[in-house]
Amino acid sequence: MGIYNNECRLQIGDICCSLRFKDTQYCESVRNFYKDFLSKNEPDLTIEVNIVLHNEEIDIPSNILMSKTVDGNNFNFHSGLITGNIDMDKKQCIIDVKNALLKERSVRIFEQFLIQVYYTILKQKNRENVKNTSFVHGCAVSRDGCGFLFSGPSGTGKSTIAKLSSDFKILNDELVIVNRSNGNYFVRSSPFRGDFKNSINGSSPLSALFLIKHGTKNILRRISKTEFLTRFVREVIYSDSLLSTKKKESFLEMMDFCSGIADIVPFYELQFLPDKNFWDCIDNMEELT
Amino acid sequence: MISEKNHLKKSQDLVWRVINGEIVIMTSDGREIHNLNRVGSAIWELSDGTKNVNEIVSLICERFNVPFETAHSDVVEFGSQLVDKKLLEIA
Repeated sequence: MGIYNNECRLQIGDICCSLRFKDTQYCESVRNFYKDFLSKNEPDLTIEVNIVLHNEEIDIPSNILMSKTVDGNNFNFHSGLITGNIDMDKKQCIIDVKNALLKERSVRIFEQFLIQVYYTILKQKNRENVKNTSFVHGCAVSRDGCGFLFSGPSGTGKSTIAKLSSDFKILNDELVIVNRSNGNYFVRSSPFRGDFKNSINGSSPLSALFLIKHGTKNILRRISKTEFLTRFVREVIYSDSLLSTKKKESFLEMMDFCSGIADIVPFYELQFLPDKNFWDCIDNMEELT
Repeated sequence: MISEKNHLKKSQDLVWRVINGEIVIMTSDGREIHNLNRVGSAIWELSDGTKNVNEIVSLICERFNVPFETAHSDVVEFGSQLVDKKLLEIA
């Protein structure tokens, strides 16, 4: 089946999601925004997006996932910012989105909804998938086929790391997909990027993970698994699905996911200056005791 | 501050995991994450609602081979902190 004029078929990891808009011009701008992640695959879910115009000022929260309510097949994010329903058997979802959520940087908040769509489809395909796959706040760099993930909250330098690593392939500077396959971890691009515009769509085996912060010099520090888990789990995107409100279950899955990574992938804290020399620290990390 | 007769129990709606003998706790809204050291983890583990503070102190003495006064001070101080943070409740 061909792709409609009002359709943006978006590839998020292994999931294909068709967004359909009433306005074809607006749809074209969405396609352009996600141009490296457009797909011709058969959609796992079709989402009819109704944009709701409004006169009132709306305060956009930094997170809409925790304030979601669910009633049967209906969901409501942050008191009506996004409302809708989903029929997984028919692979259809209809949403009403307040216009303010689709403007400029607020799109990042709308993308939280798309991430929850991703988890929903993943869980439906195979519940084990979600235990082995998560969205993570981080800048991922592929160098000589090895994946390096620099993770940290806003303002810690993910986009700076991306700019300083332009000699290599930048998979994403904001949100990446980390998944476990055959006992190894991989890091993968996602459509949901930050300020760095030249990222590429790809994936790499995850060779090392760094919790980043700005410093007065470049320092790589070994940290305990407990410290790693306590800090890293904050960077894992809440893994609930659209019609679930089982927070405890999701939090435990997130903690187990982080613990699993720590058992396989070397992890460090990286304090760095805004220059490329932090890569020297990484090249010498095997020498750390 | 908790007293010796208080029974301590874990607050509801928390999730936790034991990592290398230490407890990592996440609050139900996901906003707070706490990492307890080994003594704190032991106090947490023993706070099941059936033991009072003095009984927990005695078990800490046995487990870590420390004098009663030291264990008492640790349990009262640390237990009070966990109650203040709403990780433990007085049963």
